[in-house]
Amino acid sequence: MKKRWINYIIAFFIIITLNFVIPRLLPGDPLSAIYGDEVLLNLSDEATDYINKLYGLDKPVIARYFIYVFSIFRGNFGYSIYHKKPVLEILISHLPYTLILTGLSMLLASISGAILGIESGWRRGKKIDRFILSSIIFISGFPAFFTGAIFLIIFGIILGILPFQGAVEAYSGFSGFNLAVDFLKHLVLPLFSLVIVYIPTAYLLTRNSMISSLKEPYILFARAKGLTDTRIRYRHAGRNSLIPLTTQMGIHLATGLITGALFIEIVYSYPGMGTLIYNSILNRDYPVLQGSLFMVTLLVLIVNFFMDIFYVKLDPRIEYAY
Amino acid sequence: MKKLCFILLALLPVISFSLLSCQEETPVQVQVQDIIKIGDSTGDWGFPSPYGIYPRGPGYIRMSLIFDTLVWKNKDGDIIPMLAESWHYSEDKNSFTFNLRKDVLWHDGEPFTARDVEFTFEYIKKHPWVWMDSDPVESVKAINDWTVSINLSEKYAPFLNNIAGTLPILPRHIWKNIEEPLLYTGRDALIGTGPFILKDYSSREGSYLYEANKNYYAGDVNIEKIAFIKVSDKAMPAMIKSGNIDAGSIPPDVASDLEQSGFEIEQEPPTWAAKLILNHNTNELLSNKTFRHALAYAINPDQIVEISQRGFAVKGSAGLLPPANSKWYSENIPRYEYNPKKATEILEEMGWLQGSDGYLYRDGSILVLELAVSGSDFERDGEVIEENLEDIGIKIELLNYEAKTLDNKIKNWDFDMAINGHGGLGGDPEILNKVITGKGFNSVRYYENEKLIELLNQQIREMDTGKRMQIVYEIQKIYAEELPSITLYYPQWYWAHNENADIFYTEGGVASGIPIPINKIAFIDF
Repeated sequence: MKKRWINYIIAFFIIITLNFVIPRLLPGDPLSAIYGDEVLLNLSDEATDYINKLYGLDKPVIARYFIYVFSIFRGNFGYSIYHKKPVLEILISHLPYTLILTGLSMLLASISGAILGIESGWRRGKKIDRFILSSIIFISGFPAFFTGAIFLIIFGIILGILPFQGAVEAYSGFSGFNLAVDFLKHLVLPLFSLVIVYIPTAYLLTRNSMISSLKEPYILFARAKGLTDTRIRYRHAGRNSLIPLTTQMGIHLATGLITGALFIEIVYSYPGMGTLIYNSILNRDYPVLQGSLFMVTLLVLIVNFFMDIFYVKLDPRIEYAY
Repeated sequence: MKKLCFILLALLPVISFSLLSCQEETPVQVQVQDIIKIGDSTGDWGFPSPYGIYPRGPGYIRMSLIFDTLVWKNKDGDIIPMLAESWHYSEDKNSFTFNLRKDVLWHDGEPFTARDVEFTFEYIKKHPWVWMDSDPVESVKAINDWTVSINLSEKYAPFLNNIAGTLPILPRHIWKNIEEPLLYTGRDALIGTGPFILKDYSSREGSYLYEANKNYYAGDVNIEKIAFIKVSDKAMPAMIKSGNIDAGSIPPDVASDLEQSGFEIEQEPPTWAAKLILNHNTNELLSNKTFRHALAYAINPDQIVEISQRGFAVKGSAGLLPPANSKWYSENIPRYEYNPKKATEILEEMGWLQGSDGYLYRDGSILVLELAVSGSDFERDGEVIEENLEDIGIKIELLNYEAKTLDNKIKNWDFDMAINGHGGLGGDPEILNKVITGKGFNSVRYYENEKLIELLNQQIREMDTGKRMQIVYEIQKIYAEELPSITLYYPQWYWAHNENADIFYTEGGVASGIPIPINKIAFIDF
């Protein structure tokens, strides 16, 4: 257990250092990225110095690194150059949107993926299995932003039945129940685009482990007992097939914050972490980038930590490996 | 354990939703009929105080609804009174005297006086305000409560346009205590004298809501509320058609479709220049003027306009200023009509001869140039130029970079040729100084021709418009002859709106030249 803790601490330091270094490897600087022509052409030297000094961009990189590390331990993530607000405040205002989006889509994708996987694995080689398998493999080839754009065009623009911009209708005058309905309506398209992105993983994992579970002697025994098909399918084979899925979902939950949700959020102008990270890259807003990458890092580490504990409970053999 | 995991996951949305509803402030109630909604693809342009906005055109527009300047521009680009009732320039003292209106109140009820004007100029000397260079202003003195005189350090022709018509006046009673204006985002930071008061701003949603200032001095504000809402570029036409927004910028291709559906289209006078930037500084070939001329003859601008811009652009003028800037544009400049034969002749004279593979060689080395672009629009332009230049035997390597990366490469002279552009060419010709001798990446930084530099310095000191015009014409002539960069085209931009939103383009741009069709005087009944 002690060794594991040391691993976590080392990983943490490497990651916060990378979070600091990588954004700064991007060519360009915040000033020329944020300021427009109208202003850059006017900017006098003293104005440039003044702004650089204000945001600490005049200090040497090493000094900025140490300030950054010490600030993190004091819970201070710095001040956004673009938003002119404390980074923590910005992160907290964007995080819930992404949590709802990724959390809900993961849940829906896991449930539907698992059911499809169980049914498909049970009917291995039959027509219906081949149909589900090939259509899901087909879908899994689509990148997230593509699925998002297709949904947007069909349901948002051509059919015009669902909103496709932002999280709520701005200045619509809605409140209370109507506001909640409006929020849910805006959630539908990004949510289902993300579900489509996550379903293939859930489905394929469940189907594969379902197939191997069905070969186990306890299935034969269950049949011999005369149990119904449904009971064997879900209670015996199905349940045991969910172990790899559980693991996978944990990992997805953390990384999904960046990968899947990022593209979908941009397509739908959804105000979550993905949009925030994307804009911060464009604007070279180092503090926000560091902060959001730090938050994602922290989530990955926490999820990993719980996974480590879960594994041991799920499969006691793992404990001996340490 | 699996169960626990599922429960946690299931709870997650619930937890985050409740988190969300905690922070959601009571939504601002709006009567839908008395509001105009303007779509914007970026959404967030910052806290709309003079120092808090992001320093780009749309940011200035959002701030200009709250803060007034001494003078302003009407639709035709004429200087009109705003906070100042009248003004005159004294040649021998080199100073402007402004007589201010006596009936102006700040949004908090305090009276506006000459002391505020004096204070604002002092304040921007101490805390640089990035929209203007305060150097031309020597000193500012409030002579009495409603008269203020501004002494210039040197003669400065663009003063009314770029300083008096651009600098928002700050309330002294609020800003005198503010040490870090860039970080000041208190409610009081939004107290101005303008026609609108900010009701709501959300940086996360990228939305702004303004309410009419009932006590506005210059006239009645004819609209109750204005909102800016984030709408992606692609969705803009659909949102305008459905009436979700009243106005927004649209891709040129859909303009005629929207017009047929009964919407009004505003076409911006094309004053944004796309340029082929040539590295005349560190690239030996491109530092040769004759070689640059050969390139200009080899490139077919009509093909770029027709093919890569789909016809929605105006061909570039070698003198940089666009024909749309009718006041200062000169026709009498060297032209480089498409003539690949002439280009080949020039290159032959320079010793470049065609090899067996069709490329040009001199002393055994091939003529190869890198062409850097960013984004798909410029890439298409780049492809046309690549084809044109390969036709006469110049080998081109077309490279696509992320926009800010390319800006940085240009800034450090780390390129051969690049496609880039900038606006500001519709207003005062002071812009020529900034884009020819300025130090930024969007300036060509050309110091080879002494006459050119001398004329540039002269034109901003010439207070007589007629004489100044002659100098500006001469500048365009020399620029076209020297050709430090090749002006490719001026793209045409469109906005669409319905009858609720009364918007128009201002000749020469709003304030110091912002090409956005939102001029606050559209919302005031004088």
